[in-house]
Formats: sequence, C-alpha cells, structure tokens
Amino acid sequence: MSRTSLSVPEVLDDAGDVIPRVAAPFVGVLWLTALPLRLAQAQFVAHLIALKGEAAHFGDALWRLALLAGLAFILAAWGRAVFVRACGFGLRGSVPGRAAFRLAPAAFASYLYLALVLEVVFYATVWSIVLVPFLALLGALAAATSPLHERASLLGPVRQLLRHGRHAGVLLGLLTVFAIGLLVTFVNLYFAFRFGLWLAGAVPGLDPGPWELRLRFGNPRFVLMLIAGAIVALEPYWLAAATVYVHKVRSRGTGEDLRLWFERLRQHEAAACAPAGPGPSPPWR
Amino acid sequence: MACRRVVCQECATTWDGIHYCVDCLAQRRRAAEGRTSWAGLIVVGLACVLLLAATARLMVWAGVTLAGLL
Repeated sequence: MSRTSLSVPEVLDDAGDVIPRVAAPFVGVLWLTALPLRLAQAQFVAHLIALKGEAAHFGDALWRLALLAGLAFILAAWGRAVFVRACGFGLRGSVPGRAAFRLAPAAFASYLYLALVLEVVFYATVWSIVLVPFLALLGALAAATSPLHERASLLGPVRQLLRHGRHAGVLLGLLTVFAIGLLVTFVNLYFAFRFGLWLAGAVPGLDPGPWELRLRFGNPRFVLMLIAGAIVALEPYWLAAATVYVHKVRSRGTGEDLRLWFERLRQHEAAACAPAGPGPSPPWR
Repeated sequence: MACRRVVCQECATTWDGIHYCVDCLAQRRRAAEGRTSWAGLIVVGLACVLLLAATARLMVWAGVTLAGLL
C-alpha cells in the first residue's frame, strides 16, 4: 500500500466539511476578533491615501493608529488561535465547546511571537508586493501550527513552521485558489452594496444620491472596506484549509490518518440501520 | 510508531492513538514538564513586546514611504 501525495481538492474538501462543524460560534469569534484589526488597517491606509506626500508630517498620529492596529493584531491572533483549535477538534470528530477557548499560554505566546515576526517581515517588504501572498500563506500556516507549540521558545515556532512548509505544490495551489476566491468575494461584495443601493432607491423618502458617490470605486475608503470585508469573509476558509493541511501532513507522519480512517469505518458500520452505502475511502487511495 | 522505528507491539505504548517507543515517551514527558516554563514565557513575552513596537514603527515607515510615491 502506498499513499498518494496531498492534493489541493482533498484539503479543500476536508476544510469544507470542518467549517459547518465549527461555524457556531467559532466563525463568529474569528470575525469579531478580526474586524478591529482590518478596520484599523483600512483607516491607516485611508489616512495615507488622503495625506499622500504630507504623511511624513503626521508621524505621531500615524504612530498612534499603528499602535492601535498592533493591539488589535493581538486580539485577532487570539481569535485565529481559538478558531484553529476549534477546527482541530472538528477534524478529530468531536464537537468543539468551551475547550477551544482554553489556549495553552505557551502555545499562544509562541504563535503570537511567530505572527509578529511575520508581521515585521511583511511591513519591511510590503513595497515589493511579490512577497505579500507568501507572507499571507506563512501567516495562515503559523496559526495552523499554533496548537503544536508545547513550550514557549523563540526558535521552536519557526522550526514548526518550516517543518510544515515542505509541500510547496499544495501550498501554492491553496494560495492560488484563495487568491481567486478573494477576487470573487471582492466583486460579490461590491455588487451586494450596489444592489442594496438600488433597492434603497425604491424606498419612498430615501435619497440614495449621497451614497451613490460613496459606494463607487472612486472612493478609496469604499474600496478599502471592500478589501477588508473580502479578507474577513474568506478568513475562516483560509484558516480551515491551512489547519487541514497541517493536520494531514502531521497525521501522515504519525499514522493518525489510518487511526481516523478506522474510526470512521467503525462509525459507518455502527450506523447499520441506514441503507448500505459506500464506506469512507482509505487515506492511501 | 511516532519516530518510525520498528519496535515490537509489547515495547510500544499507545497514547492518543499513536504508538510511542520509550525514547519518544520520555521526550513527550519532558515536553509536558516544560510546559509551565515561566522563563520561556517571559522571554517570548518580551520578544512580543519588542516586535509589537517594531511592527508599529515599520507600519508607519512603510506607509509614509509608499504614500510619498502616490
């Protein structure tokens, strides 16, 4: 018996299965904790666009906003860690309850440290643009490996991240799929706003005129909100896919995939009252 | 076996559905004991504070630099 390599559809399928299991309340937790960060970042960029070349004269105000974004980043990191933990419970077939909120201090501190390192690299290289998607990928992997940090250390989280970044083909495939997904979500959000505006025009006494100017591509704040909204909407799927990927890489190394397959097989047999159907496919298909 | 070594069934201990040899079990025990390492937590915490300040500084620097190009 030989196992096939990991594949992008396999990871996406499993991520699609996990999301409904953890959606209530963990997708909400993820969104609520991510929103302050995205809004602070959008506000920061909006200020920069408004100030243009004069931005250097408003360093103090920008610094305060950046610090606020930094604090929001800690909250968002906590939300991500909780969501990944919940996905981990979901992948093992158990219902994630309050246990998902109980993050080990060492695991969270290590993850926060790694996420901040990536954030520093991101801002230091943001002008290159090319590195941005790869850093987004590493950010998701950092969150997905967060439950694996058994002790707080400076090198351990980096080693854990590198250990799980070996399947470059799958990771690039996921990156491509989610880049397209981001674009599609962005366009959908835009049309949702335009549709809402069109509907509002039918309400007597409501003048959509001022909103017509605000909700168009000419308004940078609207575009920034669309980008922030698309990122927030897609984040649960992105993190779930990264968690599934890490889980698969890890379980293939330890044989846990076989154990889970046998467990599913037993559950399938136990449901004898249901009409016979094809059993779960083995992981070495 | 977690470490992929060949060990007979009697010598392996199953934990959380995974077979472990004596060395792997000892390693896990050491890791579990080290979980409450406050020194590690303090070092990582300090690194996080420094990185947070560096992130904010870099965010402003990158923002101002890019805004100057607009």
